[in-house]
Amino acid sequence: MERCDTDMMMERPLGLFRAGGRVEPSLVLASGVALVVVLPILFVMVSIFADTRDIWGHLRENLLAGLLFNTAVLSAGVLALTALFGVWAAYLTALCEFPGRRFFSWALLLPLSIPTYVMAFVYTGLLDYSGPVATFLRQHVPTVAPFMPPIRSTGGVILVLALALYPYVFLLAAGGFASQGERVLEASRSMGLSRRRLFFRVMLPMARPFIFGGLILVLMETLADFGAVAVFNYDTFTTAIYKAWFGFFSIDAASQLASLLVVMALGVLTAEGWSRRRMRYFRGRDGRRAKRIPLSRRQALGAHLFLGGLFSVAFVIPMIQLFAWVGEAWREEWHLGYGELLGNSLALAGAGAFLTLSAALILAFAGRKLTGRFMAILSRISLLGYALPGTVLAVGMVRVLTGIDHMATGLFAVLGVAISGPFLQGTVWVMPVAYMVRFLSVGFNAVSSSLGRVSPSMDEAARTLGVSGFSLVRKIHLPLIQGGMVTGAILVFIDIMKEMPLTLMTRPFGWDTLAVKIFELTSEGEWERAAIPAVALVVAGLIPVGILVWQKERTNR
Amino acid sequence: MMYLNVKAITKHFGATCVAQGVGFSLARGEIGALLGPSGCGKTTLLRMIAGFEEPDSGSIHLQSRPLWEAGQGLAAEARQIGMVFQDYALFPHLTVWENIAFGMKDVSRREIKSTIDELLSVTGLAGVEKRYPHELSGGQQQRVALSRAIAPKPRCLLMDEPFSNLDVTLRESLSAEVREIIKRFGITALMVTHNQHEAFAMADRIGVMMAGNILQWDTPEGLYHKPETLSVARFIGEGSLLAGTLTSEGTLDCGLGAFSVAENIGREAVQKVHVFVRPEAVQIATSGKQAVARLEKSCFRGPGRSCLFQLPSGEWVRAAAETRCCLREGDAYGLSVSRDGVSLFSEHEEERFAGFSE
Repeated sequence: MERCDTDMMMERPLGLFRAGGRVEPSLVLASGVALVVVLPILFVMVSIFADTRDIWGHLRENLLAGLLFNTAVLSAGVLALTALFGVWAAYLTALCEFPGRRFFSWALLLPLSIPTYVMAFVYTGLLDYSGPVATFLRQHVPTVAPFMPPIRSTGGVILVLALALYPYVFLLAAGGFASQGERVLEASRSMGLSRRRLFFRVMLPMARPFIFGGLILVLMETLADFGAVAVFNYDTFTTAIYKAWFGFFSIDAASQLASLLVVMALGVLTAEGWSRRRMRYFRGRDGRRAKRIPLSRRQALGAHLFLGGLFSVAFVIPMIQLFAWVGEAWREEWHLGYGELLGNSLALAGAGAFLTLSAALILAFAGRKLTGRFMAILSRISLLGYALPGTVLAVGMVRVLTGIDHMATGLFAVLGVAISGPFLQGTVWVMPVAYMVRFLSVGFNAVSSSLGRVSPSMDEAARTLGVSGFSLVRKIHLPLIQGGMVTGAILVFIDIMKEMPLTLMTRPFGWDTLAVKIFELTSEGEWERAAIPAVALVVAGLIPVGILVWQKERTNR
Repeated sequence: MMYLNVKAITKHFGATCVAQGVGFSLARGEIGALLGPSGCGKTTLLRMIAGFEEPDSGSIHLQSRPLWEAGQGLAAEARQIGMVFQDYALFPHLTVWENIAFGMKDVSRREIKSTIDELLSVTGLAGVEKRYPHELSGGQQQRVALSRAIAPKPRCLLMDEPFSNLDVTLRESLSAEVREIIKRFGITALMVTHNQHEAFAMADRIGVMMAGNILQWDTPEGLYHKPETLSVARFIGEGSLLAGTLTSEGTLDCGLGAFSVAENIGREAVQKVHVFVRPEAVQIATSGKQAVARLEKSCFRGPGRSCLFQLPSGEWVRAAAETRCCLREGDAYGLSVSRDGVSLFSEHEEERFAGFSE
């Protein structure tokens, strides 16, 4: 006993809690993750100063003003519409009571499973001049037909994006309304506020940070959107980047456009941080949630019309149309090698989810072990990727890889080995890394929220019982965060399956996935054929929405 | 040498000092308590004994072997010290049985079973061993935490505010029960609390801690009847503070009258002192030659009545009276004081004058 004690004192003079000059391995790993994320962003930013006079000049003269105008109009329109749909729906389902309220409170989240580009081609196909609606009108009520507004218009893109993106505002605003404690509302009513004034003077202002948070997510998605605007031939920065690269073959011009988009994205990100800080103060403190206001018959009818209409247009009609097309195209298409597309999609998503989750675990455990400014900055940097549009990230990754390839070629030349062609760029191995950068925050949030439930005193309790190090992780941490890890992996997996521009621009030539196939088919206007991979993605996308609904129902019960 | 020895521990968090040369010791099988207001450094001291914090200087010995000495120490997991945490820190994914068995290693299956069965029956948890922590009441969770800490037969048991998450009625019954369990297993234990009733109910020895110092390490009776400093006197129980003068012949003169003090205090001719009087040492009479005071407030407390008198000097005196006697607020009564309920402290040093009572 005596000997054993002194031995342990020699080996472990400082215990576990002091790094004592030793290099902390979790810090090294976390720094590695942050470096992988920040390099593509830096490479894109540096290209602002690159010299590409002829192409850049051409872009600036002919395109830039138009791109900025298009982006501004699109963003403003989508924000206004999503705010209208999202806030109204959230108010009705979170603060009012009427038959069917529970159904709408989760059903209105379902459109989240439809990627914007699927929503876009469904409505283009449905409402186009040659589509079923316009054809029907021309044949049966020819007087009305000319007055049908064209879907391929600015209004059309805005409407389609708003239908796909309003659930973000709905989700956050509903959470904001639901968290308003009963006490505050009772206090306001005791001071004599009518219901209308209660909404505008108390409820809406208190939910404002949440609504703002939802709108910021919408803005991020709008700026990042590639697939939907491509279907509409509506030029924004993302499509311009794609065209500069694959049309003009100028990666420099593409990165210069991308650098402008990075600046916008970072601006949005700053606004988001601000709104999150504000949300914390606005959360109700007393536990009881507000009593819902019962609606009168007429009011309930109005609520049904609005919510039912929104749900049909954003989910039911697109789903019916998709399945109708699948029914038509199924017979000729099913032998055409969708197995390979699906296989590629699943393999990429699997590898990407694995890598992303590993990085998320590194960050979460490092953040638990090390508290301090440096670690806080590291994790903030590592989670930047979700604000970056896929097109920008693709450009950045390619630039980083070109740099590494150059260095590698130089190194091999010194060693007397000549290698031809790129060595990393354009290989499949790079793609999971790109996905990791983009979706790390999704995986991290799931893992770290479950790890947060393991209190520091649980670690200490295990140590007083003689359990430490790896067996502590195995016996306490892993069993408790398993659920979070599975959720995180599923969310990342499906996000990767749906990701279009990043896959399109980093894949090796001919390496198609479901999302890439949809891009190719829709750019040729083949809606029926595109519906088959689209249905696969939407069905997969229902899984994370299901998880979200389950979590929401559990907290709002 | 005592069983647990803590010597001259100093600890800083940045610029704030949470322990300034703190020391105390416990004999084998004793239960000690660190009692003090929040932020006095008592929890940090406990965590240094457990091995979660490192002292800047000083030493900690258990069973004559060092836990911490000369800037080096055993890791927490090697100290064989059990701990009950304020939030219990039960493992939510393990059943009651698995939680209790968690720390039992290198022990035969039979022994695990017999130990846990005994613990379950002693703590009244028999029948819930298959449940998960979240399915238990607060009191049951607390007992699981205690059983888990005791099961591996630790050399010493530490408890950090073990009852603070329970409601008041449960607190009292459970603290007596926990004391019985600890005594039954013959464990040396140290607890931290800000509640003096808990400390009195649980501990053989109590250290009153303030601003990183242990002011007095004593038995509960010693703390109450012979507080060594005015701060301890004020912190433990209730009492009134009067100004008084002490002559060289040993006569104390204060608002409650003049007494002769047992011992001669050979200092200056006349000294100013603080007189600290426990409420139960004050007797109330309707008439007599004692000091006359007016009853300002009387508060019914069930077992007794707490009365607040104002002396002609303007000083306040708190006295305990019987419930049944009828006292009227605003009336004047005579007060006298029994000497063994009075402590004297020098005005400047706050220290106790030796040998006043008894």
